[in-house]
Amino acid sequence: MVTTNYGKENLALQLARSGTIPQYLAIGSGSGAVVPGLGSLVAEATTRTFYNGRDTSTSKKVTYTFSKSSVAMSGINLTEFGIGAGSTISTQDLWNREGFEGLDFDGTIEAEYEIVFEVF
Amino acid sequence: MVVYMTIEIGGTAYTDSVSVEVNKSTSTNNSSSSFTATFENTAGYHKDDFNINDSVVIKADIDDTTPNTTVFNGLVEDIKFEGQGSTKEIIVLTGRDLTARLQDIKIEPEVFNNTETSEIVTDIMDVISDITTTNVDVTETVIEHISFNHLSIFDALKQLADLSGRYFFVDVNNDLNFKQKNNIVSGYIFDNTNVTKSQFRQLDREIANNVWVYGDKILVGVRNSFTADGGSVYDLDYRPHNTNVYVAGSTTPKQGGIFNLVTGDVGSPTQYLVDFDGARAIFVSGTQAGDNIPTSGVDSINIDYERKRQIVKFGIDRVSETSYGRKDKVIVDKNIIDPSAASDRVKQELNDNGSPIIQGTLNVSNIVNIIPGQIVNINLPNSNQININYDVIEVTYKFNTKNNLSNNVVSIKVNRRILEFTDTVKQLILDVKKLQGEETFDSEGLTRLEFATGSFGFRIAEWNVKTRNVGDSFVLGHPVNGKLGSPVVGISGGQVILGSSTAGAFTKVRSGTYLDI
Repeated sequence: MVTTNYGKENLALQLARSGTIPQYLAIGSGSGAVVPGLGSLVAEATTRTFYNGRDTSTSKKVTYTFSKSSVAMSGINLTEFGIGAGSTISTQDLWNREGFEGLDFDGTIEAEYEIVFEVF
Repeated sequence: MVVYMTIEIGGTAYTDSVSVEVNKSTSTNNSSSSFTATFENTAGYHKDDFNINDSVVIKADIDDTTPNTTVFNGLVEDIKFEGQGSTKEIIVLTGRDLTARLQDIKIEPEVFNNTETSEIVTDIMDVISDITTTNVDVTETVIEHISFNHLSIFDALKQLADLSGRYFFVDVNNDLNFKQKNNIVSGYIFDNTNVTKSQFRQLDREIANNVWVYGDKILVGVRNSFTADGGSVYDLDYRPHNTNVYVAGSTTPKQGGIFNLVTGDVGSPTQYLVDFDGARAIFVSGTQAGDNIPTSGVDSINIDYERKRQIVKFGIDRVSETSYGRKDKVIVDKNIIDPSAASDRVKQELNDNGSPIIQGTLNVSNIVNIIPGQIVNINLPNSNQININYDVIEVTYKFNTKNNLSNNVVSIKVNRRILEFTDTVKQLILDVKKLQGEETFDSEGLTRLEFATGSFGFRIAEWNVKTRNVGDSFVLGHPVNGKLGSPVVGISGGQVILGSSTAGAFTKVRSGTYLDI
């Protein structure tokens, strides 16, 4: 009962293929404990954004990057984000939720999001 | 002549061993090949050089500084540090060749019927991936029935080898050799030109010329029929198991009980009693017991039961008995459930033990590459060994500076092993295993609990939120930076510029990393 490195490497690559893979960025202003069973943000805001970069050059890792313009981020107190399979907000399809101290966007700054999934 | 030896452990050659001892053996000796290597470890010089399961390759040749003859190929199994102060420290490594695999792995319950011996060997070797079976020779012996219940592969192969007149060992190429005894001639002759020391011993302790083999007991069906004679007691031909009694042609068996344990009181359902030792069926009778006696001269009585038949075979070697006197041996092995297997066992015992055992031990020079199992010729007239061919059953190498320089490294044991205390203990252990395995059978369902490294997991290794000020860059739809042209200015007070030349690089403002604690 052993999973080989080859298996892990290729499993990681599956995260960068089609299907219900994580590919849309969800951002929000909610707070509270991270609940693995939730599958969505606490208070998702604005529309979801499709990724603009995927990097599989590191073995067993996939790095997704997303960009949000200053216009899209304007007025948001960012406290959480996650990556989901679909573009519809508040859908229970997120692969992760990261919560952090609030970050105010007043229209003068734009944002870039980066997340690294790893199969180990 | 000088003996040269090299030892490689974990892929690294070591030239500073104090002594190395190798014992090459076959199944005849009931053991695997093994090695012991001693290194000086002054001030911990070798303290972290060796690990359990490191590969060990030992080579030796005569008058060749780069020897190529592999005399041992195995694994480190025991690392022992010894010392007194920091200047008398040594490391002693010991281990076995891959025969150890045969001793470490047990066979899940399995039965073979009418199968040629080498087929059984290759089948049970399937579970070991790092030992090949190229040299498992086809035999002329078909085993009619044999079962293994969590017996070690080594012990199973030993049984098969004994039954088919073979011996086995794992060679230096990690290949299982399953060979016919007394069949491979080495061409070596040992006499007063190359034997420096010898001992021959002959004894009758193991002789057996009257052999009984008792196997398992098998239940077989019996029917005794009677016409009722008015009595209550009916004698059976054998002591009954699983008894059913039918009266007056009924297909419904009577209700039974055990004689002297159950009394047939009025109202009791018990209609007859079984007297096992007396081999009787007794109908309960009398008004107090309820009258269950069949009607005399009218009722037929059929008593169906099973009786135990023991598999037993006896054999005698009259020549041996005449020469050495009667010597009995009784073998009880409940794993024998086939009469022909019992016959084979009798023949094997008489063949192996009809004559006194001769065991020879020789120290030899000028020869390194002796393989256990091969035949050597011995000509030592003063020991009454005149041009006699014997099997080599064990080869021992003792490499150290003195022995290597004096060409006195190799000793061999030939012919038959005289059983020692360890063999008796080994047989006891095997017997206990057999007893424990008697009720162990192959199961249709088996819950397996496995521990292993290499399972996989999924995690977020890292995440980052980065920002940068847009400065006076043009941003489509932006209330301030979305307008181009003088006198309009951007949020930083300058002219709005197409592109992001004033925005700079992103700065990490929030992040998270998985910590492997």
